[in-house]
Amino acid sequence: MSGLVGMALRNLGRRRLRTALTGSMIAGGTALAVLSLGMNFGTYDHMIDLATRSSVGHLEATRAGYDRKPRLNKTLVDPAAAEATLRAQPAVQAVSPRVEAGGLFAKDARTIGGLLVGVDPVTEGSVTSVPRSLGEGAWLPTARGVDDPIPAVFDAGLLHQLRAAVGDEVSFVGQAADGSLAAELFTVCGVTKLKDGAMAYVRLADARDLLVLPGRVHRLVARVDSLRHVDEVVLGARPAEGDVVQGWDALLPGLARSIEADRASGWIFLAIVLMVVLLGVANTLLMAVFERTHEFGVLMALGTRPRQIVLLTLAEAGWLAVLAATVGGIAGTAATAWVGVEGIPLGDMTIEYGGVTIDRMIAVNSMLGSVGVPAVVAMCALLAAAVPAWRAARLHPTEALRA
Amino acid sequence: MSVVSLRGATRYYETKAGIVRALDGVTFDIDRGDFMVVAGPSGSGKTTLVNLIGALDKPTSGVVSIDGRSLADLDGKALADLRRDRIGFVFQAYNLVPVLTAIENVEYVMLLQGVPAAERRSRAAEMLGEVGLGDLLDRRPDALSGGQQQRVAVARALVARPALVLADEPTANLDSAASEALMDLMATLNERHRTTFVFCTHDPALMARARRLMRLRDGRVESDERIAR
Ligand SMILES: Nc1ncnc2c1ncn2[C@@H]1O[C@H](COP(=O)(O)OP(=O)(O)O)[C@@H](O)[C@H]1O
Ligand SMILES: [Mg+2]
Repeated sequence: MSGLVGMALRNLGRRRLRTALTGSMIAGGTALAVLSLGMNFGTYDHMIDLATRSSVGHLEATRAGYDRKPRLNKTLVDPAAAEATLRAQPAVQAVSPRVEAGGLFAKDARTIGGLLVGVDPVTEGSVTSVPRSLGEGAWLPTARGVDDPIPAVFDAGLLHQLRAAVGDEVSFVGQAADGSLAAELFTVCGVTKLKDGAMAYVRLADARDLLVLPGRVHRLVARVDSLRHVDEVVLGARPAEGDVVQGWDALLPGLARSIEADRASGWIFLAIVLMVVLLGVANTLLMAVFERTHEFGVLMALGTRPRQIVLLTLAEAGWLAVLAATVGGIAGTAATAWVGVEGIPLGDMTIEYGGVTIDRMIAVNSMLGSVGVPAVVAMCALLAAAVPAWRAARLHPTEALRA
Repeated sequence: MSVVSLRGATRYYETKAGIVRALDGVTFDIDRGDFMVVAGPSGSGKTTLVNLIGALDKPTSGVVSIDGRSLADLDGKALADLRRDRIGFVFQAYNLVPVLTAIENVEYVMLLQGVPAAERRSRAAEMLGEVGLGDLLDRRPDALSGGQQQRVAVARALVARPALVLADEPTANLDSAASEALMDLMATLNERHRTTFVFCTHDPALMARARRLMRLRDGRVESDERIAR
């Protein structure tokens, strides 16, 4: 016996069934809380990933204010400096430039407004998934002969409205940076899967020629190794005066807000688990204290101080809480890892959320989930033991002995 | 100096039926080395008296002092420490801690006193040897007979060398042979260590062993005599 704490552990073994029930309640609650937190985080990451891959990237450098009020002439003050400051940070994996301009696309009698985006055909694929997730046709070629038709990849939505298909010619009319008319004929070489998209991608060089934007850049789109590093890169970037670097949360404020709101609901689940643990532990220990009233009387007669009675009771709860929360933490972490690797396909039950369509549940482990949640549960259980412990310590020795 | 002194010690209980005068103005001293039996019919106040002498309870009025310190002046912690260091209890129902082995039960008080583990263990083993249980050290209480459990309880009460050992009807649950053996044991320990013993009983066989016999009736001392043996 290693003192009162060891005695408390043995006391746990007295009512095996009750201990097992309370223990599995704590462990189960912890595991569920860890898993649900992991699924929340995983889903957020998945959503952010989908959203950033399909257009904006993890972060972007633009001229200050371009994001809210895009203007053809609001190009980066110093694109080279912006690219350098982004690439200087080890978390940044890729950077790709874009120019863009609104205009009218037309085929036959149909005319539809859309956004013309000039991208680097080679590097675009490393910041977004547009080149890799085409519905039909092929991505933009790296080079083109002077007399070849100008290739363009259209969003499915835009192309549908134009009643056009791969191989068709679509005309574009807009304004160039020098005030002249920008008019061109594109040949559709590929189509994205975005049914509500209204963009057409062309080679950066073609777009710059058409819009008279030689060497200029509207957006420098970047991808980092982990979403966790976005803020770090944004804070660490030192673009030229007049240019800014913003993360996905600033670029997609709607998505960021949805995630914040959902996070709050995740805490509510944790709070419910904590309540269950609190009541379970309090109940178990109150029953134990009640059953052992006479024994506490004996311990008091032998000279056990009130504080030592508190220690004995708290230690019993502590053992139960720490053991069960550890088991629950491990189980929850394992379950999270399993879901994370396999993913749970949602089948037809895709969820539209913050402008993103989710088709799988994904879970990721975090220190907060694997260590933080079990620790909070264990602390909560100790808190729940405070009432029974206090009651035990306040027993009057002679009355306890009469019980 | 006396180990315990009572001066007009009174203990009333408030019950729904009214006030019960369990102990009603008792005055006497317990001296070092006493082997004292408190006798009296059930309800005469024996347990109430033992609770006061053992610092488990405080008098409603009057003074109970142990080692010259009045219980009225002591808080819960000080009373606990007083019991731990000066008093040993033997209960009618043995009252061993069920999750502890025989030797761990005996070690318990020394654990509270902060005696180092090795010393604790050797002293507890020695004491269990003295009560004749040297080969049952690691048994849990449920694997011991009633007489054996009561011997462990005696060892537990004596191992920390208390000034006073209190035993409330210690033989009530034992057959006569086991009772005799237990009384022999305690008489021996009384002589060997000059430990003070106070027993409560209404068992005539036990009264016959007393060297001081006090009779209680309705919470009052009826007689108090010393018997030479
Ligand atoms: N905690 C208590 N509350 C109320 N009455 C009590 C309490 N303890 C003892 N009594 C009463 O006090 C009287 C003396 O009891 P007790 O000291 O237990 O006597 P004994 O040990 O000689 O049987 C009895 O009438 C008993 O009912
Ligand atoms: Mg009694």
